[in-house]
Amino acid sequence: MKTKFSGFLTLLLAFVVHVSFAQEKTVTGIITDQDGLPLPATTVLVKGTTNGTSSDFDGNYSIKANQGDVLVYSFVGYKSKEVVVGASSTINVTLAEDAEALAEVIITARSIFDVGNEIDNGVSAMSSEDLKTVVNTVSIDRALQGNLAGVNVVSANQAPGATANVIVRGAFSPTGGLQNPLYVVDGTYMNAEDLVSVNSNNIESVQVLTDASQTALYGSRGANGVVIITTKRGKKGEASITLNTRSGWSNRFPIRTPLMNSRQKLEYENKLAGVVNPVTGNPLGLGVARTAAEIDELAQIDNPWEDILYNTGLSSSYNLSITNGSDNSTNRFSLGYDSEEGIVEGYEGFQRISASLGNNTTINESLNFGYTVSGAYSVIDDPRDRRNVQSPFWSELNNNPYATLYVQNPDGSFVLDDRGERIFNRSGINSFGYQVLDEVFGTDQERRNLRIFGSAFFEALITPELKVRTQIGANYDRTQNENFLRPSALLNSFIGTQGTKSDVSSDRLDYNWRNEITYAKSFGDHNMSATVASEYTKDNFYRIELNGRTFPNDFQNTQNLAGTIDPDSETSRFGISRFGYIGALKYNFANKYFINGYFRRDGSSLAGLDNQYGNFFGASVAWDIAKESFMDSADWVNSLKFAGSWGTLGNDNVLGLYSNFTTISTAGVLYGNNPAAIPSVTVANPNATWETNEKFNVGIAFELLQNSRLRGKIDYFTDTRSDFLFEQEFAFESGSYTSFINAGESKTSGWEFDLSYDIFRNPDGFNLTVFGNITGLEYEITDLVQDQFLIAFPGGQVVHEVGLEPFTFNLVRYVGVDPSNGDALYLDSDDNVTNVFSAQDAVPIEGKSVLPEFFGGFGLNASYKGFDISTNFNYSAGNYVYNLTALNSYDFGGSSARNNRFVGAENFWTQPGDTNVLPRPTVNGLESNSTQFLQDASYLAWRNLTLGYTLDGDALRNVPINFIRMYVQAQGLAIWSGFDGNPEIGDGSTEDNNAVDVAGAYSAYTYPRVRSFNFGVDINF
Amino acid sequence: MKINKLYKYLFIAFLTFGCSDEDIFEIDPDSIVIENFFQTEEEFTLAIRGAYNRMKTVGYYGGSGASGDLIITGDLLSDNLITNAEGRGSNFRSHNWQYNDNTIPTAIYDQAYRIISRANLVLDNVGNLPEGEFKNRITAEALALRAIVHFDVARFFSQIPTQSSGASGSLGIAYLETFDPILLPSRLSTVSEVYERINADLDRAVSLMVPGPAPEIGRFDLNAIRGLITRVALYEGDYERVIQFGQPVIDAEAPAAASQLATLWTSASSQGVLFELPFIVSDPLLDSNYSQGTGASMLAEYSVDRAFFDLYDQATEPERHAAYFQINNNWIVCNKYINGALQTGLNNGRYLRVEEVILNVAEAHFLSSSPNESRALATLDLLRNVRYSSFTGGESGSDLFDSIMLERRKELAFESSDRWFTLKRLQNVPGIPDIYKQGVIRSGNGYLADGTGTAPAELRLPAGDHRWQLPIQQVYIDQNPNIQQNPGY
Repeated sequence: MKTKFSGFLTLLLAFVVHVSFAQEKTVTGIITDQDGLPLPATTVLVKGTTNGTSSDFDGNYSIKANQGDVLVYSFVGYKSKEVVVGASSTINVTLAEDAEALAEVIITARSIFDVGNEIDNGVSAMSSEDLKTVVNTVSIDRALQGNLAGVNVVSANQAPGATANVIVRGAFSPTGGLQNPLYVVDGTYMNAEDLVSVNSNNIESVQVLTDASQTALYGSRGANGVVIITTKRGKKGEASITLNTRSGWSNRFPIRTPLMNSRQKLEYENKLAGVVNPVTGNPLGLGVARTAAEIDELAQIDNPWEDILYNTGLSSSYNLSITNGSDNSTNRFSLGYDSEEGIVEGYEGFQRISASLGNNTTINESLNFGYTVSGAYSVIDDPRDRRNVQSPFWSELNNNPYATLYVQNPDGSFVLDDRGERIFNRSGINSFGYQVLDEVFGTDQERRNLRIFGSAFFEALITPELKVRTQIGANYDRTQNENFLRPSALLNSFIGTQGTKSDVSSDRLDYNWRNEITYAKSFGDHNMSATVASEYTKDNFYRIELNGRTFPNDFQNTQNLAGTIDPDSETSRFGISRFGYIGALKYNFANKYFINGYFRRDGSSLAGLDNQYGNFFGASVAWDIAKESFMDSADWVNSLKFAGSWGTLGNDNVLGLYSNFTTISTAGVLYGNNPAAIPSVTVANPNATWETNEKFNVGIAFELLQNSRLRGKIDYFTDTRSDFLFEQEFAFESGSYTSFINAGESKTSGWEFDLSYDIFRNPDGFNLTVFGNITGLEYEITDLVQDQFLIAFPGGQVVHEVGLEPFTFNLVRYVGVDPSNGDALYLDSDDNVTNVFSAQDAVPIEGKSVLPEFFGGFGLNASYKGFDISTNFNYSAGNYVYNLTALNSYDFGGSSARNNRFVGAENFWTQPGDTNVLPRPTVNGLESNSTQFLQDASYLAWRNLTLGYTLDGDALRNVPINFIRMYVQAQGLAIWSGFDGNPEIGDGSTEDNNAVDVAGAYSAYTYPRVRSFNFGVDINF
Repeated sequence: MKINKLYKYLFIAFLTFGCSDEDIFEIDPDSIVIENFFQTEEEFTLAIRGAYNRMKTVGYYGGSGASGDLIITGDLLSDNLITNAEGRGSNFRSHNWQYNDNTIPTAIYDQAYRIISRANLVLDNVGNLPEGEFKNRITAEALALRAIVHFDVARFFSQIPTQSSGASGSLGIAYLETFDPILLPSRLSTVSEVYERINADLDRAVSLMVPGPAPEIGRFDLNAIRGLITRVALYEGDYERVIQFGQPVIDAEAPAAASQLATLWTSASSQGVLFELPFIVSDPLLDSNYSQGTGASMLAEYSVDRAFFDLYDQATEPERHAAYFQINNNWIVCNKYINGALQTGLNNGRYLRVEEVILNVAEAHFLSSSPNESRALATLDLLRNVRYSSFTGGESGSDLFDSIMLERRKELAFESSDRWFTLKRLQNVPGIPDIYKQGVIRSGNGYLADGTGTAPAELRLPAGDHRWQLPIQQVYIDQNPNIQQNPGY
């Protein structure tokens, strides 16, 4: 009985064997245990290669191999066996039970929360092999870019340690834009910002769950998809030591829109100074008139601000891991150090020390426990990310090239301050009269995180059929932020201070506790299991903020030394709790026909008090067509599976904290020296409840041609969000309050294609695999409680309206320049041309929304003997971005022409007949809220190129080394797009974002793209 | 098997030990559910402070650096200021009257209605208090605050009753008298309806308000409410009411002496101040509306027009001259907010001073249906006596009106947008020289101290132009379709 049970559970193992190889000979056979019972899902591998297959439910297997090859048969819980391929095409094998390894059987066959391998559709996965070629030192989410069907990854920015927006099947929230999925790291729930604590060297696999049947078990938090990250575990056997090292450097990626040089800018200013008001004839007062001689003189200074503000950022990474296994226990330990300076002058970037420890232990045949604990301590020193002169990125685009870095005497020598230091020049530099290097060197900021996360489980087999299990996952984060404005910084003189300091410390502990009982039994070809489970999750947060001012010097900044502590110093806390019951049934017949069903009921502390619970359910079917007898003759089909699923999931994470109460608070409010109380902006809606995400998916997965030369899967899906949550803004006249409502319904549908093809397969020679994926999406708002919802972002608006894509831009239509007088022309809301700009003429721009219509990636992997090369590209098409950066950099109004401009800004209307020009300059400048700078942000990017060489086997016979891999890698190689600037927009500006900002709606001045080169060595002892 | 059974029951117990509603009930540790608030006097005090507190935001006194606060908006819309061509160009479009429904000069509309809703929240709950002085005071404060903040919206966004012959019948503003976040109110159809409600609230406030000083800085007392009534009544042309409510204030409160002006404008002294918003360290810096920094490192948004600066006589009014102006980097800049007592740039928001009430009453005596020039002159001299070491005085007729207006422009510059509203409200006042009815006429000077440098692109805003009523920002209309845009936008 134990055997069968083990075998059944093994089917749930999450291994995906994609690759085989071309061969003249097909070896077939049956694999059985000592009792003669067939062993399904046994791995059959050609030794020394990654080519393999697995046995079916009747123990049958088929593999192509050369005569003389060694086939390795392995099945968890059994001793592996090696057989040399001889003349016979049939090899039947009996595997002996390995009592010592039994622990792994139970441990790896973990839980209903694990993803089975019987269904391929609805899961996108990357293995450690896939990750090896693309992985970024610190950011695992960015490594997913372009590699997973249905998953669109947009880096928020490229600051060291920054996270990415990971969007699964176009998931969005009508309120807050794109929605990140739930991250589950070894059973611990995490947010996107926690991901930097996961050392990518420790990752065994990444799976993204996209459809309902897979995601359901994470129901209350899985509606935006689930990313499951499994870290490496210890293995039985001899201790193994792996050392990964990597070093490299990165630079600013070209900005893709040329800036004016000194002469161009001076001539532009001169041209602008000549513009007069056509009615009065008076000069507009824009630009600066200079003589040709003055221009010649000033143009001799051509300061490359890019070179001043950026430098080459070095990065390095070291990771040591040790695994071992004893009779009843396996262990893995790792220790890593990573640093990434980043490219901005004056900042140290990101540093991290990480460690992890994992253990699985068998107490006896029916009791096991295991745990993993990981910790990371990281320090980030990055520039502020604002939309003004305090940002190096703003300054790069706006500082005039004819302005010097330091204040200089007429003879060219430097003016020194009373400490003998050079003084940053502010004259003529930009419209703010401020040089960002004062900020760079005058402030000292650091964020330190200590994150400890892990999970532990205990499980028992009460009878061979009945298993109970309890698991606790927890994630602790302590964040400390120090931000010091040095007393010597010029900024003090603008804000009336002599040094300020802000200390913010927060503690967050999130944990989840799950209990489950599973009953599994097989009767002949009937295999079934039933699970009931409960899950409780709790988030706790506590924060201390202490602000002080007036400090004695630039180097001592504890609040002890502050002249005064600000009265807005405070503490705050919050908690979120959720509880759910889960029931799941699984049945299959002969591992050919599968039916699964689930039900869950979840309650959330965030939901309206009259409506805290939601019920969700679904079912899936699958058919392993290749196992049918009528397929036996189809030699070219190695695997063919059909799967379909339908189900509902809940989502509550749009709901604001405590938004189910209307409250009044004195928190942080002082009127003079006295406390004051103000009502919360959010008013309670007792009926606000779970948004329901109904997911439908059908797909096929296949491995075809000459032993799986062509592999892939195709899915069609729909994703209907009913009662979607939206933060409604009420009338300004009634006090500008908001409330969370269930506002309507949206529907997303799409196709995913994921293919790979082995062009050459030769274990001893040249191998070449090409792969690619594409996801096409359509989105629509199908129901809404009012005519439209408008959401503003800096520079414009997007709208939700029935029949339109969500986040369709709502702008005044710009139709060019009147050649006769240079006026900017717009269409009014009745489609008449007008030269009067009015925001009331804004209309939805159909077909132009923030959301992409297609995205995906492609690339190739090749190897020849020890050499390997891989490269990949990704692309996104059909999404539009309001190019606020371009608007600002072409503008002439107000003070904007006192900043450097994009080349082309000088091309404005000057005389009747001018076409293809910017409008005639006016003091107003270019209007925002129009389509003039709404741009198609489609792009194709060449992300990665890796060249490696692996030395192993005979070459290392005389040294205690198993293998050495050396590689060089380039990332961020090229990008093609019609967009002015960087088309990949995550956050316009992280610091200026507010809750209603829509990710990817507008460009601003966030940390720019980088191009990096790395060299690495991995050694295994 | 025995031990297995034990485990079985243990785990089944785990599972069935389900969670109740209490396990997913979270209450905010940082705030109080509103139904449980408004029980004690202290809670009402906290809430009324919270209502006033919103005036410390952009539009009123927010110091955002965007030059959109009440202390500058009216000055940059009129003829006291010129965009400093070396500054950041803050509110540059408004300075040239190029605002539209996408870009408006001030956020006061948005902020005002937030204040109103907080005042209404207090008023809706005031029935929880026992009858008595405390209840009366809180009620009076909330009513007066609601009235005067509506008045601020009305004077920016609607016509002022004395602005034109049709002003009283022209489009009013939304007037909110209850706390209801989901209401979609309309604008009252006439300005006179708006002023009726303002006056009703102010009358009730003044009748309830307990005599004597306010319990703390930043709260209305009886004289503050009376002073506010004079401001509203002057805009309505109800001069008898100005005199009726203004005279007791003038009798009770002395204007700041010349020697006190320096400390008045560091906020160390509050002589003559009837109502002010208290600012403490870590609050916004008001000077950023005009300039940032000091000395050679100063960056200025607006320079003072040389022609306006020349109206001040350094010989006879050196204290006011020094308190109001600073010449730096060859610019004349507003000095009122630079020298904070607590911190450079940190100053209280002076919403109403007795000096304005004096000027209101003087003007009312002059314009009254039974004019009294001698009382007008005597009232004006209450102020002039504490500003000048010597002055000619003794004016009559239009000379007297000129002097009242000159003193008004000089005394109230850079403070409460008075210049804009004066030029707006006088456009249809009978019996005054035509020069006051022509809107804004700028000197044409540039931004440098000697009057050279880049001049404003636009120099004239004629009386009767639709731009005297600011546009309603389109997003306000998007959020509430019942709100009607002003004519001309």
